[in-house]
Amino acid sequence: MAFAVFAARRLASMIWVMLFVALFVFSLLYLAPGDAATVIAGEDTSPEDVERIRKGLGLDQPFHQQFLIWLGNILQGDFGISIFSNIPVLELIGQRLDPTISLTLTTIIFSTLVAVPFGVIAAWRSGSLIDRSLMLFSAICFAMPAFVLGYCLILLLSLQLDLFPVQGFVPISDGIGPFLLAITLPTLMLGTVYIVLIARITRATVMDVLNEDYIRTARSRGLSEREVLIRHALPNAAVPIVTVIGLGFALIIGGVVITETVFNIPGIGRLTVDAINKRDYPLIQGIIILTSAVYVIINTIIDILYVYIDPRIRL
Amino acid sequence: MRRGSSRMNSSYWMGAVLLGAVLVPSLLAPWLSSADPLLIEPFSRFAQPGPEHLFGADALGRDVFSRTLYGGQTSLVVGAVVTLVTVALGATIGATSGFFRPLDAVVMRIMDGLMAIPGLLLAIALAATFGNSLMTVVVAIATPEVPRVVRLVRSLVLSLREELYVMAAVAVATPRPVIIKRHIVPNALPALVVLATYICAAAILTEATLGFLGVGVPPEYPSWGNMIAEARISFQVAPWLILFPSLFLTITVLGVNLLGDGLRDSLDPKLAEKI
Repeated sequence: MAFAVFAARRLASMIWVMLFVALFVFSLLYLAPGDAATVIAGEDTSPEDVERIRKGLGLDQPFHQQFLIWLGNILQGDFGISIFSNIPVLELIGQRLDPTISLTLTTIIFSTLVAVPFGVIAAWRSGSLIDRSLMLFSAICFAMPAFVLGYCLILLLSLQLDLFPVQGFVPISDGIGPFLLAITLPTLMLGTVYIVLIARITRATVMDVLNEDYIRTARSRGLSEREVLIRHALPNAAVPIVTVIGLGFALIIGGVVITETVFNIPGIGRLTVDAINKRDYPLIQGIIILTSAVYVIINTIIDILYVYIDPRIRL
Repeated sequence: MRRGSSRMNSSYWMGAVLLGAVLVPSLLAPWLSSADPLLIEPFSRFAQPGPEHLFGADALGRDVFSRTLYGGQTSLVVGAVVTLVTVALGATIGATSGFFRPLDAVVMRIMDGLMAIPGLLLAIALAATFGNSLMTVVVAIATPEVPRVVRLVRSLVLSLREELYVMAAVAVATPRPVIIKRHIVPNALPALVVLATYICAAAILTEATLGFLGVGVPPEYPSWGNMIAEARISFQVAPWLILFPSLFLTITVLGVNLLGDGLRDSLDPKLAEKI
């Protein structure tokens, strides 16, 4: 019962948040200097065209009415039509989804697989060489812009050693080998900050847990260090780790934009940069709303999942 | 305990040294470099690093050493202004929200909404909307950071309100502004200063990223992000064009972050959990 109330409250707050995002994204067009219809039409458009756009989008109506119409359309899945390519926004986004989802998934899987063991070992042997190199590495990675790392990878692994293609994307349907070869460098670039973030949180929480009485009890029962770490320490450190994996998703969304630009991958990130450069407002609005929705949904799911991960959380 | 305190000092000093290593040359740019950072010299296109051009020259023959130093000014100014704006705005909103409960629900919903939009996406959308200018870049970078300050200050105010000495001050009818000045501000300041350093580091990185994506400060200001963006096309021929601004950028951000870590640990060991 308590769980149902909790879940319902989380879902309700999600709706509020998305409503604000929608309002904000909608107002972007009005915050832009100049008249909205002219902004949409872009430069070099005849006054008749501007007038046609104004009528077509209902821009001659008051703000709140426009917003409600626009919101209504979006709730029905109509995100408008891209000004530049004249293709419905949703269709355009759909075409670019494959590379971005592939890249995001490989990054999350790879990062978690690398970061969690790394963080656990760093906590277990805190002060050791592994631990100190993790701290140094993370300090540098937090300070280095992702695109610089991307160019270093290309310079070293593609141009010097010729191990990976310099850029581009191969869909998984063209074979797993070429897919992995093309996606390795982008995954490394996108994953680095994420790995560092997850590893540091894992280290911090596991270190806390290792000081608990039940860990000492487990050790005194003669369990191997491996069992202590994997069966006792890690599950108890799970909540903050899962949280940061969810929160870090925002980093990945931002990172995707940069990674796809560096490696010329035709995904949502490239689409965003193109939309921004062409001031394609319906497309920009659509992308922001949808990515924010994905982000909010993921974090809501994680919040609700806590109750299952950690029975200590009382509702 | 002892070991901890010597370490935080070392990260504090290391941060200060790294930051100084970039800050000083950038401020002294007019004296250190005789070359005009905007001067186009077709004959020195892609000149390799050497005595003529210490860091080489870019695709238009502009001196990279000079551009890197002046670019540092842009980055540091953007970092400082964004930090000031964000902290001032965030602290005001957060404190108001913590003190005046009726406002709280509305303000926090707005902040939740702002935080729901991935930061970089919000920044590039804002930068694109308002067009190229220094002001735009500051607003675009500051907006996604404001909720972080608001949340911190609000939570500090909420917990400080419950402190006995604040309640006592309320009980003897001390005016609210005096309570804020005498009790809230001094207690909230350490956490705020530490958060400010992290925001400054993030702002410098975001400025470079916006420049890289083509929505950063206008091209008449040399900036590290713009330099790297311009060098992108020719990076196979002239990797040093990317190398030098990137190096300076990384050192700066590393310096500010270390400074923040050092401050955090020396001001209050418990801060790590709050921020």
